[in-house]
Amino acid sequence: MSATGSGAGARLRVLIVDDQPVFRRVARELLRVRGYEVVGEVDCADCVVDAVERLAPDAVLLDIRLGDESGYAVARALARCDPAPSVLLVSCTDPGDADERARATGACGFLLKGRLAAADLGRFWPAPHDGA
Amino acid sequence: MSEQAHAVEALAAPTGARRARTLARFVPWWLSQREALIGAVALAAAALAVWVTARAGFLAYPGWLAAQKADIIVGPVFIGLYWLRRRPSSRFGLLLIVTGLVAGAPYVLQSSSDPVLFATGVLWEGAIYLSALGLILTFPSGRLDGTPERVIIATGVIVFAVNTAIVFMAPQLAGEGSISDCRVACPANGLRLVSDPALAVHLLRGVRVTIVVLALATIALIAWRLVTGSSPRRRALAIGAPVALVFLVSQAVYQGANVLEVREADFFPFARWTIVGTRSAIWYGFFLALIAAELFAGRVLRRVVVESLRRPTPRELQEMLREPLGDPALRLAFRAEAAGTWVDADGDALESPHPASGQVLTKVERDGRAAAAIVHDRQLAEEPELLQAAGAIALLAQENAELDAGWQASLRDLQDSRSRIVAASEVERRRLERDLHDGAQQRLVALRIRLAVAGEQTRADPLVRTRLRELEGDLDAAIEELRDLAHGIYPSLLAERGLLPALRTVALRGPRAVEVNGHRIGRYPAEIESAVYYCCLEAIQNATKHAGSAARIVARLSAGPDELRLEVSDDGLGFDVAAILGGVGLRNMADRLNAVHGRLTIVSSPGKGTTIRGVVPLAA
Repeated sequence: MSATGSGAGARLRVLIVDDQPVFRRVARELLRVRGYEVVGEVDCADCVVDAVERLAPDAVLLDIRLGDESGYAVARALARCDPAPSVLLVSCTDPGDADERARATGACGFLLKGRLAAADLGRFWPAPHDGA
Repeated sequence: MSEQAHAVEALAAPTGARRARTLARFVPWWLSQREALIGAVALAAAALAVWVTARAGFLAYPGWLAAQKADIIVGPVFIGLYWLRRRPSSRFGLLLIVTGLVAGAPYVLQSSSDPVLFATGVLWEGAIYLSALGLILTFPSGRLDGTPERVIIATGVIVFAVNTAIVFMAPQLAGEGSISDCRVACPANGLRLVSDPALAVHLLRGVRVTIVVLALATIALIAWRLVTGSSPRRRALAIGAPVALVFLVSQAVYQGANVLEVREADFFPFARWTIVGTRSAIWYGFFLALIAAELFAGRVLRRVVVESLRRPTPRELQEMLREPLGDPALRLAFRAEAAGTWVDADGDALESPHPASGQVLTKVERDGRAAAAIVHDRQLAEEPELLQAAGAIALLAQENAELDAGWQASLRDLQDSRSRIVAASEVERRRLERDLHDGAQQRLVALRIRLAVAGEQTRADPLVRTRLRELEGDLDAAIEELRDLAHGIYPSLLAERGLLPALRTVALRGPRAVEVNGHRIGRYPAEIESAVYYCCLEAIQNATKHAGSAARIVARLSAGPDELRLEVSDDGLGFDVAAILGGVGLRNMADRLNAVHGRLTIVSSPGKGTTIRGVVPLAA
């Protein structure tokens, strides 16, 4: 895992946060194909802030439901980090208020997992290969 | 009843009892065989007395005397029969019957002109006085309870014996100038064995003195009982004693006047007629006392029954019974079903009354088993109808209370069970939704992503790409259906954000525009939010389906400190509530609300729209 920060040619560093191993595997593959660098996977809500401090990712792919914990609370905690990564909230189901809540917690947006492949991630995150 | 009883006996013993059965046909159903027999004997004896007396030429007042002789038999006997029925455990009834048949019936002999029979009749008149004395002393229990009573009766028996001796030696027996007076001359004394007028006079004087003493002693005894007795006894004496007291007083005065050789002419007949009149009336006084006791018991029963509608505790019941029964130390006890022991009104184990305390325990039976008991003053046993009434009330009140508690407990159990089922069903749903989310949904979603990636990376020909895109479409549809299914099973938004956000999502997602308004809606226990949510959901779906496309559907939630209210109304087609009332959907809604102690109201009529209102109480 490279600890390099920004720099031309550096790939955007993403941290995947989800309690489902199936999704983490698929997300890693998708992000790699899209050109991002996956720097780590976290499966529990309590470990996220630590991992962010340790790994310093530029972006975080975060499920709004981590077991019994709320992903929104994690997003709020991440927004307080310095530097704060760009948080993209995802979920299998659409609760209907996800967009407004995403904005409220300081995340950059919300996507249904099913639409992940079809979506343009660049809308939410800086494109890969861009400098930070 | 006696007919039936004997019919059964006849079947068992065909030959011998048939004659009894034939006779029994003449006995009305409301009399027992024994009662009919005794009554018939008394009536026969009375008829005989009337016939003989009316034809007796030597009597001065045959008509009056005949009536009195009939009354002296029939009066005590029938009152005694009634007493036996009403207070079967009291000996007083038997004493009355004995008075009528044994003391009263032979009195007819005095109307015979045969000297021996006449003398026997005169002699036997003493038995009437002795019986009357016995009745006065033993009223109302039928027992000689103390030494004074026994002494008085024993002395009375001696007086009777001496009187008999006087008859054996008196040269002539004359009516004493009252009802049994003879017109010209009475029949001769057929029992005269010895002729000793002087001795007879001395003995008579002694007898008179003793009678005065006995009369005064009995009056004193009655007065003492009146003063020291309990309420039931005082009530009984107040009605039963006056006639007896007049009789005793007139006896004392008359015999005393004779001893003192008072010579007032008009005084004596007055005294004699008073004695003769009151001696026949004594048992009517007792009869009235019995009737009064029954009436009193009835009044008490009425009053206490009305008060027991207030559902008194055993303690209150005990207090309620003390006053009318006149026993401030009265105690109630009930059988504790579980342990089979006796428990008093405070819930402690019952202490049996000490024999010297003057209290007695009486059991109240139900279905042949003792179910309640009353510890009461001994004298209350003289009024068994009062005790029975009190016992019956106590038993009924207690059973009522037990049934009440049992019913309440059952209702609580039922509601608890219902709540548990609802809660369990909620848990089950959440688990199902969770499983779907973590299992099938994730896999499908992962598959979708992989498919997309695979599609991007392949260099296949356009046909294959088209096919791949079709697959992606199918998979999207499957994912969406599964999402809707999971949402239908348990809307996670409801749990996370509450009623208004969840319902607003429903309104947004639905095919029709639905207005959702809420006023001060916070968070509530999960089962309440769930019940209200699904109720609104069902109502909105019904309105969407049946109200017609032009209808405006509004869902409103409001909350007060004690309750949560929901209302889903539309101005559409409406429906006939009575016709659909048993419908599964409406019942479902009602059941959901009932399970959280809420209520559902449906107001609708064809053409006038529909309003569904629900109220759920919030625990304090």
